[in-house]
Amino acid sequence: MPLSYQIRDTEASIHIRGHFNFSLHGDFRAACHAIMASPQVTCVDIDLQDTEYLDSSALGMLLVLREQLSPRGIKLLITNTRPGIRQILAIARFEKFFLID
Amino acid sequence: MRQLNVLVVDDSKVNRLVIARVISQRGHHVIEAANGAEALARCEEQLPDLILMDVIMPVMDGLTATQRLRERYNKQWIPIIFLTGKSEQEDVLAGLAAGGDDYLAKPVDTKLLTAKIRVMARIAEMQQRITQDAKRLEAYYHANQMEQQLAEHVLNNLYGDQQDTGIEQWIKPTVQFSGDIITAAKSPADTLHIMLADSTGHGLAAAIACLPAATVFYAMTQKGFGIHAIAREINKKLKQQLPVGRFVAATLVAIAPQERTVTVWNGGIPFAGFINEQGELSKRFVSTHPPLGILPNAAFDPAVEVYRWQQPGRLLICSDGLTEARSADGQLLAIERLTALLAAPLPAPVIAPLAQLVNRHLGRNENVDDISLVVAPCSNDHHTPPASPQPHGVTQLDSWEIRLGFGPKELRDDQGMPTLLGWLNQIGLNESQFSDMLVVLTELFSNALDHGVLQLDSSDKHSSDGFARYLEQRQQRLSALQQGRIDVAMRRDGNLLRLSVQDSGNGFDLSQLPTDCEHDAPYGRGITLVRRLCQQVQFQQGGSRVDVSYLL
Repeated sequence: MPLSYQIRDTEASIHIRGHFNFSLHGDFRAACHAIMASPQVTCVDIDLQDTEYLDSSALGMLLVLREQLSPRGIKLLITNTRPGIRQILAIARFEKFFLID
Repeated sequence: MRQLNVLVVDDSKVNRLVIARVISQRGHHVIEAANGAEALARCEEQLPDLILMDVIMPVMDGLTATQRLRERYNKQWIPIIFLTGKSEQEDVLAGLAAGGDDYLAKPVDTKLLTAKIRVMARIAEMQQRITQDAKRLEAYYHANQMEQQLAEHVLNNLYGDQQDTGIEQWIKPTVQFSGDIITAAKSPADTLHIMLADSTGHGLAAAIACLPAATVFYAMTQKGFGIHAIAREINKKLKQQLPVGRFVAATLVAIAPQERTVTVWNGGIPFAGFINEQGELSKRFVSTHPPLGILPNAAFDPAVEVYRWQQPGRLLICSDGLTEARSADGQLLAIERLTALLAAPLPAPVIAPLAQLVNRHLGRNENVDDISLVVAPCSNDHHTPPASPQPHGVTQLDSWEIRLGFGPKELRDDQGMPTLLGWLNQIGLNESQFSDMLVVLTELFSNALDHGVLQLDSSDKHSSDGFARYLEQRQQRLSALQQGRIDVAMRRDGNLLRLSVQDSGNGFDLSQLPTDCEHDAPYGRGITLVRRLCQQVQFQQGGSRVDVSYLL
């Protein structure tokens, strides 16, 4: 599975493997819905350890996630980014919207 | 299984009866024909779902009838099963060659017939669905073609007219429409505005997302707004109009050849830089903002970066389709290889070798994202184009007076020039009057702000370092501004436009004022320009107020 997610108590994590692009749209949305349906979640960790590439549609999906979750005051983390991906996030100034490790 | 219409073609009445009974018992409807010619006639009345065809018949045999049927109804498929006297291989082959789909040996075995009908019904149903889908797909394809033609027309009209801007550009879309656009236009004050915008995704949807950006860019450039104000307005429009998750990364640039400055607002574009004629990167403008259409306008940051060139060169901007383009062996294209190709004296064209390099780099790899790049020459020998004769008969307001005051908050939020521009655009000036007044107003207002309110020392500006320091200091003081104001009054007095700008500063030593400085002096040009354009320029109150009159 290129995308998997886990919800444990107050913490949810989304793990993305390979290319993070429009092909993961359906899976990503399903993960968002599951997290939305868990009122105890206060922190979401988007783990990009195994993500090789990320394009602008992925940035769009991240913004949609933020739009849905931030009214609930949920903390949004992007973790384990590789250098190439960190650069893409930096060019789009995503540190304004997410906590990037 | 739905009820089928089955056409049974056999010259033997007994055979027809036997088969018809089996078929009716399975719930299907039977039509009968005694030879091939009759079969064709029945098909004319109503096309059956399945045909059982004898081979040897009088008038027209089964093979001929099958061939005719296939010719006549070539758009859809009707399963035809041959009934062969003996299951001899030759007969079977002849039947299949004529266009039959299967065969049954006579005397017909009831179980086998039932099974074959079921199979054929299944295939026929599938076939029908495919035919329907194909029709829908064809209709969709045509509708899509028409939409694309319309879109192409609109987009070409929007981006097509970029003559006289001197820029070179290259866009390589992944699909028919690029989600990357390049717009360029000159402001009334002869500053060149360029925007390279890259919206999420590719194709028509992405191109549409760029439309509001382009229309705002052209309209506001024409009206004399600065790129920071344009960026802010585009951000507002896109935030209103696009769904969350759709946005437009963009770099907006203003090139002022008189000042030799490049002003850049970069939100999410990976590369924008100034490259000298030796092909060396003199200045890189990194992305300091998120793309347009993400932030609410209250959080929008209009801060720009300004670079003053000493050595002439070219500005190069490219989208992430280029910086992330991979060759067949997965390598990225180093930006130094691009800039090296810009080692050429102005105004030599450079775009062709750049495009060639990118295409060679990609090799047989398709570009996965839209690639776009733009090159703008920044030359040291700038000549103001001669003013073209203006058409008369523009309706002008002929008697009015306006006073506007800007306090610390308005100045901090950069509401001064946009407000004044709004007025300047409404009083019915013709093109050259507007352009002159824009220059005059901009110079006087920025003098009042920089030297009056913010007390910046312009003697610092002449070195490149000093200029950067100057801008940095300006930014700091402006954002911390707590007191001070600028009052602007404009009045139409017969054929004179009188303008007065007063600031709360201490004024300056009027004897220091340059009388008529030479063109190369890095400062003081502004006032010289104003003197040249206006009939009268008078400093009052120790330099904190200036009155000018412009002959309409």
